[in-house]
Amino acid sequence: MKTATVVLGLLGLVALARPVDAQAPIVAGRVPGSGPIVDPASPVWRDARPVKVTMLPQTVTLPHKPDPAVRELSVRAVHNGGWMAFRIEWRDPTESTKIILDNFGDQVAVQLPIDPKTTPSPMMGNPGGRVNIMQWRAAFQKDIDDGHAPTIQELYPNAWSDFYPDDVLGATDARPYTGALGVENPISRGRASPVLDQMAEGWGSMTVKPDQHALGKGVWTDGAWRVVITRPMVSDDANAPRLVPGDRTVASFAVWEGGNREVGARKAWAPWVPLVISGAPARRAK
Amino acid sequence: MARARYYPGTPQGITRMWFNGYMATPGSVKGHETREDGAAKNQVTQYQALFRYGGHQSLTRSSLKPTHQTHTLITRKSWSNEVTRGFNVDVHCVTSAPRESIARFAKAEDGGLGGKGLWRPVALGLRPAAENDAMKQYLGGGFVRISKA
Amino acid sequence: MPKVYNWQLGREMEYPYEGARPQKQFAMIFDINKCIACQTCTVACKTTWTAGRGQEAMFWNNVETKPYGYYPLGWDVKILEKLGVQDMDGPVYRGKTLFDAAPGGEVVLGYLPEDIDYAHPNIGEDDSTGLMPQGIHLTLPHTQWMYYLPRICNHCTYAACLSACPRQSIYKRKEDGIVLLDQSRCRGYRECVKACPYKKVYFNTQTRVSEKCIGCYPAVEGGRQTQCTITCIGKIRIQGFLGKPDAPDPDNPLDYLVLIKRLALPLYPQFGLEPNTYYIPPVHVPPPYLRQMFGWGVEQAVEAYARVREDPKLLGALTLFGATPEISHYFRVDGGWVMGYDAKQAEIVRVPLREPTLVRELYDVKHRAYRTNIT
Repeated sequence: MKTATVVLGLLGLVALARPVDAQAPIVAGRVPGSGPIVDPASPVWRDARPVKVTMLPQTVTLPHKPDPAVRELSVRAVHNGGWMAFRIEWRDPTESTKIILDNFGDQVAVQLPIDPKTTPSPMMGNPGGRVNIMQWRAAFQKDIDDGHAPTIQELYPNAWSDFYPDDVLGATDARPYTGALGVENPISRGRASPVLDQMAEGWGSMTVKPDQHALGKGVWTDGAWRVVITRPMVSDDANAPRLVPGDRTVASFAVWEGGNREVGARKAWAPWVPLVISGAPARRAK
Repeated sequence: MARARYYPGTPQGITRMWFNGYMATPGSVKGHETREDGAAKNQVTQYQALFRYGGHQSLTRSSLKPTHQTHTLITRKSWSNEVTRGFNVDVHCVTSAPRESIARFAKAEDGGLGGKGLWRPVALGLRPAAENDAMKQYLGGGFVRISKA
Repeated sequence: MPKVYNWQLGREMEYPYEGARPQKQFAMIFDINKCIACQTCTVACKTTWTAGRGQEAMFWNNVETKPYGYYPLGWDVKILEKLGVQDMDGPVYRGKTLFDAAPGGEVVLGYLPEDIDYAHPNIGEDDSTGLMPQGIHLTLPHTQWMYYLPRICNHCTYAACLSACPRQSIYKRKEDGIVLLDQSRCRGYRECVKACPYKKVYFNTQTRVSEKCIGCYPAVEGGRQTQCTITCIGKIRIQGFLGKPDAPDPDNPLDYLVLIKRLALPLYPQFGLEPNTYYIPPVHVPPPYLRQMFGWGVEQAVEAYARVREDPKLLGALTLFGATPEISHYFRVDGGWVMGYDAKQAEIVRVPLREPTLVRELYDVKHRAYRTNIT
């Protein structure tokens, strides 16, 4: 009996190793613990089965990216009853975290429908079909790891400025000189989390939510990114997805390789992948 | 000692230096001599000099003017219309910034970090006497075609 | 793709949005013949708007020497090369606009400069063309020539930056046609930086979003011209509003100079953006280069400028440049004077067309001294 189970298990693994035409579902099994699951190196991931997600070039709306660099993501999901987390892994030869004019940062995003009863368009939703998009940015990750966003001197070692308005003026008077920071543009800097919690109802409408609930962490080693994006499963936010064990929903992804000048609409994306939120414990070999 | 670049506005063999207010200071000289990249930059104040040594005034005459006829010179008294004779601050005292003179200069070394390579705009073909094909076409107004007069 | 009418090209063209002209269009005229590149305008703009972190190398107003000066490096050579040679016979443009020439998958033809292209804002200053031989003397046009080109955002009617933003973070105001980049909406994609052929949108590394000239809209809303205009010591600029191109008002100094007299010409009209900064071409530069930059009408503009003192109304319009900080919506020339009027037609300035001459006596009785040239 035991031998048979082992053989069947091995056959199962072999079957999974072959590329499949139909998209395999992501099964988020239950893991012990509570609170946000943030670390890509955490042992909870050991039991989560990775699923290959094929990434498509964005050629639906201008500007197109017909040749994105990342063609495949490896995605796992788990939950602990309170928080659900996605661990996404992909190959990227360059770690792109510096944002200057001609440098773009690496990013990855997870998209969930807010009301899965009427599945919205996987292309960032549609009017009436809202989606939650949690977007991790390597540049924010670096800001957090370093403790601050890079200063001008750090980006340009030989630059010098005698003083800035906020060195001599009060905060209110200096505010006009702080541009987007002064109007608290959420993508400028000073993030507590490297993941932006956003919603959209169609491309071009993405908005950062005033209350941020998504956390995460990304680590780059040996030519690959391993990024976790996590969020609470239920809340009283009407514009957040309700993720309940036993539910079947969908998730999709987008990825940007900064080294290939990918940003905004110039990305690779995936249509909806089935997502099973299992009440059972996570098991690697199904 | 200052950096020179090609300037087409004067005849060959002649060039010009102007607007170079940022002369060397003790701090900038120390910066040049101690920094790894040799920049003439004062490490404390971050003052950046345009000269490794000296300044524009190294070339111009001393501030002491060669005044003539000091006792007999007829002048106008400063800040007035009064005509006077002899000493006058405006004429006889040390004044600031003598500006012009003619000097001979010689090449010290090749430009570029470590004396190597072309300045990037030259390498890109965007500088006089180093124009790429697009630049040449641009200079002649060649990106538009006019068939009627 | 919608079709819009571009008066500078004399024809319709494709543009991603429906055309809707503003009630009045913010516009500026520069008299290139008077610019000395003192950079006072640049300093005025910088101390007013771009003194903050991340804005150190950002010059919403810049003055570059043509032809070897460009900020960023080679901006016009590069886009002209990308667009290719185009027919520039007037009065209808038969060539391609940047929208016509957009590659597949793009809204508009453009390119993203390298960061280091912004490192030399004043490269090529005073560099003239050709070799300066011994014994050279002045001719018209100059054999060795250069001139100064002051530039701001052109607040284009068919702005490329606006068309390229996938989020519509750039908008054009209905009341005055000023093009603004919403600092809360921008996500720093830099599509606008790539799209603007004039490279007048800039990326701020500290805020990680893009920024551009705002047309000094707080001043303009209050009836005052922009900082760069009022601080110009050479009085080379005038800022006001253009009306509808098919019904120009001869009493509006901008309409008169741009639409009626055609003394001031647009910057690289072939791109198809209908830019709203207009230049009186320099009289000393060979026409082929000017034709490439300002389109047809260069020779006629130079001719009209050379004979301006025969035309009191034209001279009056030019005399208004730098005469008052307030915006002149109307002007009138009468009895050797030009008067400027605000939106409510109240007189705001009056300037003599001929500067009065005062002759002083050679001998000053009070001081008992001769007035001599004492410099």
